[in-house]
Amino acid sequence: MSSQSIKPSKNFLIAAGGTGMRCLQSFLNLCALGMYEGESIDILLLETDIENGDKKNSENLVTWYHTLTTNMAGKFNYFGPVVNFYTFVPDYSKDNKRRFTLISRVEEGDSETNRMLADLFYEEGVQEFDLMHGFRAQTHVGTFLMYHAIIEEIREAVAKDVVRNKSQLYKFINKIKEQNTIDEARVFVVGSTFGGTGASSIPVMARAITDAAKIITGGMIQMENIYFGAVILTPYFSFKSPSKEHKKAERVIADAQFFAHNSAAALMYYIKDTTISKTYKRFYFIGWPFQSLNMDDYKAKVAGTDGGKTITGGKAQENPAHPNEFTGAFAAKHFFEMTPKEWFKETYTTEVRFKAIEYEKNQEEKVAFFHFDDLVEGEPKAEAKEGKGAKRTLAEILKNNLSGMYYFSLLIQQDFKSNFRDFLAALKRYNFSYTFSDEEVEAISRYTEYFSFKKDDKIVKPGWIPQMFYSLKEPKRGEFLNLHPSTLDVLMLKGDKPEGFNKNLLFKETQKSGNISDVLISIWAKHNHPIKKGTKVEFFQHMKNTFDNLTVTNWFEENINLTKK
Amino acid sequence: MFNDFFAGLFTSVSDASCMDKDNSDCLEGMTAAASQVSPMFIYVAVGLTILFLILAALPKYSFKLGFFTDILIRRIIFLVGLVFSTLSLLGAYGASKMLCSMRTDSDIAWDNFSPLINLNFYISLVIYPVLFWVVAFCFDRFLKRRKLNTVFVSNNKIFGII
Repeated sequence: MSSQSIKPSKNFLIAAGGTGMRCLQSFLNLCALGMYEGESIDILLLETDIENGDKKNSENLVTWYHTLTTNMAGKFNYFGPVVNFYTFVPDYSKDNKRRFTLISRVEEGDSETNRMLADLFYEEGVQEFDLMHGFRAQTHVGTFLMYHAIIEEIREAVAKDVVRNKSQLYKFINKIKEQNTIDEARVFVVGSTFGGTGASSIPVMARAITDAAKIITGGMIQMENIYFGAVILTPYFSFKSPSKEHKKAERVIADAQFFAHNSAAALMYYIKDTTISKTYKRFYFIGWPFQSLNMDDYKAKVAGTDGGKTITGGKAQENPAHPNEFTGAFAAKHFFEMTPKEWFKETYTTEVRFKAIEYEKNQEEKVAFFHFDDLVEGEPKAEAKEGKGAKRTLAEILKNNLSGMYYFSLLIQQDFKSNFRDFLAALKRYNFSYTFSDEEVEAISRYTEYFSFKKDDKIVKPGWIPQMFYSLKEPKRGEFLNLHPSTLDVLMLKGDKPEGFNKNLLFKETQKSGNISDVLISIWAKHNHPIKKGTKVEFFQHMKNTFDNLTVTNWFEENINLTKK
Repeated sequence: MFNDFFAGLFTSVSDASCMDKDNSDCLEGMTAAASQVSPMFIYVAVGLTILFLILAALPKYSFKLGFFTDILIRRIIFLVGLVFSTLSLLGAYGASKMLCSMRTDSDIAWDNFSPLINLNFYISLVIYPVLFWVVAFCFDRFLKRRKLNTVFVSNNKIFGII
């Protein structure tokens, strides 16, 4: 996938590993919801597992995003900012790169001494496992290989024109280098502490980028204007431990029971290591002190199957979205947009930030309450403030934009059977004509499917928003963003005669009327001017105007009579 | 209003003692009859327009695609209103002509009476389409209530065609 650099950016996001991919999806959705206020952003997707399902989903999302972007950032418009996208996947498919021993050329030269040295750091299984499915939670070897892969790619790019023209990593780091000389570059890494690629990348990323930039410039660079930050996610999901046979066959395999242990060790390292504390300006630690989502339970619920054997990676590694990842995306926003430049200049060691959210103790289990203002706080920048004296907080804007996009997605999937052209035809009758290319129509249809749900015959696959709801174990009282559970439980749509699901409960106006089309088109017509040849930019602006004038219901606060603890 | 209109029409035309415009004794009665009848044309036309505007605003916006849509229903209501108001006004106009022809001075009654009501009659005939359009336009332009205007403009084309 190639990037289309339209506007220079000072913000750079690096998504590493499976959790990083899902955080990236959250960040792209944040951009799609208009919550990133900058004009553009450069994103590097860093993955070791070329077939990873989460990576594929992220790339699809980027493709749709590119097709739909309106280049109208700063006013909370849907698909506003421009995303320049880069990927870097170290190629471990070649015969001479499939294992640590091959990459490190342990067998070459004095092999016995080499092997003894390697054995000092890594056990035999770790040296020999197949790297095609990533680092399999083996962070100690992962950091070494990741740094090596980045530096090797940049060295080759500097030496060979062909590689330079092809290398997206080179272009990405080159842009950071250029931005460093112009003004400042903010580099933010998202990944987990407990997995493979993400956990391996975070510790070395600042160092690797700095060293890579020095290789590009021949050491002629001062990197004082590059500010690094990272969001670090501790375990929030689990899956069943691999069987003895599976462990024996694979030799090294990720085991969820060690995730907490891995995290604890990694966090200790992040806090104490001076290389990290001198390079990273800020860490956002995001933990999940509630019961973890069990992937096997989730798969059983959604697909009606058990999890099967433990997934080491590849196409099958496709986990549901989780509110933690969305929080991680907003941590990136905080780092990019809500941290003043002066703070970076005055900060010399890593600052650690965290945020507590409300919860209720239900017997032994803690139930998390997730609110919009847990994700983002404060008010829009002065230049982004909306007209007509409206004074909405960022959380309120997010609430309307997210609910609007979700309602729109449900509408396209449920009422128009994924056919966006029919929705356009309905609006056209009322003198709102928008021109969309086939590619854009396809992108909207797919994006709304991704955002809400996909229905094939009687099988319903929850989309991004419902996935977060299921990740919280289907809270029934509006614990998830204060939304009514009947608007989120898309699995109710299974079968020929679905009952119970009701998207109209998202907004007060639609809740009262029951006639979706009348409410929606009335408001669409009232708050927008008829248009003859509207573009996607105008369409999304009109859509935003419409949903800005609907009132999102606060299901928990308005309907549940409980004293929150 | 409709009953009052026809009742007023019958009584005023019948009650006028004579309809000779050259006779000053008749002139007052004739003018009184005309002044009672002619505004009623306007009132009826306006009343019918308001009634059909309300009816046309009732069908809800719909996502339903195809031929029989809310816009078509609105247009049918508009056309029914147009036909109904035109026929009612023509009926009333014809009834006053008939009443004049039944009078003892039938040879001159209609020729003398009709000029007094013609202007309002012709105005009333155009009131329905014009007022309907003006209201629809103003609602669309100034109040941003666009439903009524879809009678005249849909798919960004006049009557959805041109």
